Amino acid sequence: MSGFLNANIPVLNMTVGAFLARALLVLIVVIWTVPTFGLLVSSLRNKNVLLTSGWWEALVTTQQSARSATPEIGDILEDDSDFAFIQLADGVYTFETSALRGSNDRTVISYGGLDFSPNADDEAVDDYSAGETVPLPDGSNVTIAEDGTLTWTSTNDDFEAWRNVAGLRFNVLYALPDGSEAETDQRSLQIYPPGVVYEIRGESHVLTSNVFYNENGFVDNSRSVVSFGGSVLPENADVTYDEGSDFARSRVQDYEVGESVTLEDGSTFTLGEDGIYEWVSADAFTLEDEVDEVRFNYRAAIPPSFSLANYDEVLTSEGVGSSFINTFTVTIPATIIPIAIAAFASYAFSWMQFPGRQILFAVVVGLLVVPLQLSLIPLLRIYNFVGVSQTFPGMWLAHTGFGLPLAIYLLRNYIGGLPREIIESAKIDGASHFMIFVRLVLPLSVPALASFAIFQFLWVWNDLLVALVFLGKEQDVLTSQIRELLGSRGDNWEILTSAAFISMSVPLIVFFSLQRYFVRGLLAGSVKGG
Amino acid sequence: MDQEILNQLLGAVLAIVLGVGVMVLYFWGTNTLLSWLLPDESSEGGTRANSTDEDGYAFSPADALVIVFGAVMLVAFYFMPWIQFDDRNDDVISLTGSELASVVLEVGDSENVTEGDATINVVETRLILDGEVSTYAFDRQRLNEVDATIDRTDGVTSLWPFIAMAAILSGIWGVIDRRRQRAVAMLHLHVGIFGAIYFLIFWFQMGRIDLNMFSIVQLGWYLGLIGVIGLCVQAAIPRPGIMDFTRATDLREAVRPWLFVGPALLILFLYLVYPAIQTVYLSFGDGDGNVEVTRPVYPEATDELALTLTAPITPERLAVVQEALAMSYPSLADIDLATVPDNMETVRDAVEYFLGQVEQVPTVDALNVDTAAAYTEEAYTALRDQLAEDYPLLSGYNVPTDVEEGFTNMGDAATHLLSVVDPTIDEEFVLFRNYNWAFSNDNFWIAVRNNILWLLVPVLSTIFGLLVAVLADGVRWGTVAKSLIFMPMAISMVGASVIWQFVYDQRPEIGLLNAMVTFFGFEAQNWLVIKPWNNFFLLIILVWIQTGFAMVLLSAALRGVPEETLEAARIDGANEIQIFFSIMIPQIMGTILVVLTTITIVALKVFDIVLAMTNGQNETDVLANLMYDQAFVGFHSGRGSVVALMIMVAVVPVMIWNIRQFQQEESFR
Repeated sequence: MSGFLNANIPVLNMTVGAFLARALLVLIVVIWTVPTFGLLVSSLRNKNVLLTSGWWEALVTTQQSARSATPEIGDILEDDSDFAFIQLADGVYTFETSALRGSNDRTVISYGGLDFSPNADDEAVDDYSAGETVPLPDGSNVTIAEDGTLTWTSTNDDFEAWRNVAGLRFNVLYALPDGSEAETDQRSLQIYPPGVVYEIRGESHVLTSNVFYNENGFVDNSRSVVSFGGSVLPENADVTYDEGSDFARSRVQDYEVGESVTLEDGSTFTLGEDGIYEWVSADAFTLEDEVDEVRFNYRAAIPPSFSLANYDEVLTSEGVGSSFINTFTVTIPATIIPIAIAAFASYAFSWMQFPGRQILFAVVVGLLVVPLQLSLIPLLRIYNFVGVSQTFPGMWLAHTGFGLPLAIYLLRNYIGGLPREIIESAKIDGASHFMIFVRLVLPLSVPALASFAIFQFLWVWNDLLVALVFLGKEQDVLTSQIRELLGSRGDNWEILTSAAFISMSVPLIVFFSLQRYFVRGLLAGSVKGG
Repeated sequence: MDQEILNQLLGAVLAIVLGVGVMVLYFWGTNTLLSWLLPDESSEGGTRANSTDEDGYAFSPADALVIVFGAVMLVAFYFMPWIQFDDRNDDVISLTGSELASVVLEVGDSENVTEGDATINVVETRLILDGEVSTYAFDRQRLNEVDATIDRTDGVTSLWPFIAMAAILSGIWGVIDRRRQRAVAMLHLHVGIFGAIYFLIFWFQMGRIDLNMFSIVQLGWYLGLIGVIGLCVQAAIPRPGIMDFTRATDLREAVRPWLFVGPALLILFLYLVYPAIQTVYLSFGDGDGNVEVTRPVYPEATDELALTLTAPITPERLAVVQEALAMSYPSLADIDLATVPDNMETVRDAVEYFLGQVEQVPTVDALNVDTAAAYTEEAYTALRDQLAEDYPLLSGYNVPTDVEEGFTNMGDAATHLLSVVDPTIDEEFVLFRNYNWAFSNDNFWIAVRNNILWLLVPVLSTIFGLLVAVLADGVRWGTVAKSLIFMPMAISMVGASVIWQFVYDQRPEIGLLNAMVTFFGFEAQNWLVIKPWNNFFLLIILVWIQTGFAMVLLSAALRGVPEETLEAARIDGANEIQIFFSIMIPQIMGTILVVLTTITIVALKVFDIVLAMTNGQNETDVLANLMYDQAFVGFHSGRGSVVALMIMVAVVPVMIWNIRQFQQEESFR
């Protein structure tokens, strides 16, 4: 065994034992870094892909199967609904519906308050008289006829413009059969289903839309369709079927992109690579159609994409930005105050004579390990009584109290180790303890102060318990915010990952830039031995 | 940038400047003041007075300082507007409809308040609670919810820090007193004076608080504590052979160290020592005066009362007050309004009058109950219905489950029922009920078991740390490797939890572990619900964090092993593995122990990981999380204190070992 381990590997110029040792080290390092790396990668990925593929697949184009369906004909042909769909004939897109919800006994007198923005609150009803054609800013025209028919037309052949319209708001003044007048509340039209276009192309009627629509009305251009199939059989179903049989029974990989499928009523369905599908029928679609909708599966290729969008979202809309500031507000004073207090105490413990010195210091050593849980309940009662709970100063003092034992311990170890001669000679020169401390000891112990500062900074920054107990919702720090997110937004990984990484960024920067002091502090802080 | 954020930043900067400024001012100021008060007389040269000098005790400026400080403190405490005995305005309560029926005086205007996403219809209402009138805002929609928690801020309890300060000061005074032999006597004098002042003030405050037996017991308890702490301070301080304070210089140099350590000691005492003692005390309490009240519902009565407490009393209003209070205390309905004294001015007077007329609730002994009998549902129901004849509030009343858990016999149940109808509600001293709850509660034992399981963390971290320390030694990129393994130390446990959620997630598309498991053809698992292994998966996270710490310490220790010893062993023909186990390990045993104990403490206190990952579900609870749950989610500080004490008990051996270790080193110093 030992002979084998000592054998030389020629290329690497090392023994087998050394090679194995190195390999093991690499393995451990990888295991230790991979989870963090995964979080970093995840936080940079598009939120839609986070749930469907692991971060380890972030660099390869992944495929994802999804279900989709055309809108039901019944839904879009409903006569007096607010929803209608765009028809294209002779180069003009037309959207037609009833402005009065199909009440035939009323007549429109005038209308107004036309606006695209969903929050519009223009209550005008007499901007235009019935039948007047109103040009809209996007180049389209709207008319509301006396019988209540609303016609919205556009010659703009880019129907994207239609898709991005959230809705059209308007008010109508109308006459009732008895001659009295009334006006509608603000009504709004929504183009439904979003992005669906009904087109009369030559002899045939075509229903077109895109499977890559997202809820914001935009098409995700990065994706492409790989294949598609009917809706019944799962992707891997091991089923054979007769050629030319029912589309509904086909699998997701059965049809190539762009392939036309003939459905049982003779209409054809095609799904293109860009996600646009066309459902072409020789006759107009009617409510009596046998095939009411086409349900299908498709497999899409998702190329790798990274962005800072998640960070942007988290910082601006999820309150993480203000938590970040809060964390700084808590951390910095909570780092400085204990250092100042502890430095004086450490000096006294090292270089001044007073009764009880040893025993008080032993108490400090004992307090090093006292769990802070033991203090929380009475402290909160005191805080509530004095009125400093849920305030930053209360938080600073709490962290000062909990950090003080370690601070005193660390600093005393260091300050006590300064050469006796320096202190003695300063004393002989007539300097008081206060002068010696400020002029001599403080500058000399900067490394120890830095060590403790890093400790305390990391501890306060990363603390959750004290923040939960002593801070309110108003002054949420990052840790409690993330903990909250973990509970309430457990599936919104894009928020979690970026928030977590934001909270980790500052400690990591501090850690990597000041690692030397940190290590030194660790060695001094563990009860001797290092 | 947001104006609000800017303001906050400015505030933070200001606070830092102020905080640091106050400290500088303190240290510089006190030191300068000391030099000024006690100027150096060293110019007179070497004659030092002898300590056997029995001249009378000279009243020193230091004494004056102590007295002035104490006086200011007392004045501030009792007369500052921010401290009042009946200051309960900040309490948040929720009440049942019947609670309202029994205690509502005035239903104010309602207003809508936005809280998060929800809009709540809040009604400001004046209530009689515990015989006192207070104003609360509460949620109108939730009137019928059960479980009302009334938080009593008890002024007496909050005297603690001041008492403690007095104890410390008198102790220190005793120390700097040149006549040590009289120090203890001086201390007792202080206790006596302080106690007398306290009692006098207490006496004057009587009109505003319920002075009951328990408060007096507390008073004695405080005074006793002053004596004990003072004595401890005295006893802890070794008697110096000769300490001569006849000269100002000496007195000054004796005081100065205390100026240096004073703030530190004060903060340590306030934040660690005193709360620890108080926690022990609280563990015997019923939940610090949190009175849990659940009462049946009289919805129709809620809105009928619309009286302002300060409104002048009229016969009609008097009748309304009587009717409202009679719902809780039927005997009040028999009072003839004609007999009511006519010197009342406001509604408040009327309320106080009626409450004064309430017959004393019988004691448990007066009830015909076998207090020692075992608690059963049936016996409880019978007792309740019996009591409900006199106290309609109790009809249909059910004990909150967590209170019920604490019942050991029918005596407890009877006490509880009476406490519901008692017009005065006192902080209850329940002795071992909280301990009973803990030791008979499965969740507590699961938490204890899990904490023991978590002790794997120090072992695993040390092993991994040692492994890395050895492997990385002498490798060119060893520092980089160590730095990467060390990195998790900088990450918060909450952050680590998010990181590891990505490893443990049930979906193989997200969870790395399940992706690997499914890659090898196994079924994906929900790792965090597999009992008891889920604990193992959680504690791995802490191992991941702590290994870096172990590695740094051990690698430094390994470097300290003399190279000659290793050389000698190699020459003797030992192989590397033998050298490692029989030479290196024994040499660094001290460090290994340090690492083990340090990480043990961390593991015993672990909280964030459990809270963030599972919140103790599926038998993953640990003591620290249980404590948080009980004390700050369930607001039962008595039970929280018991659990906190259990953590402390677990830590004590390490603490003792640490102090021993420290004392050994000191003897070599």
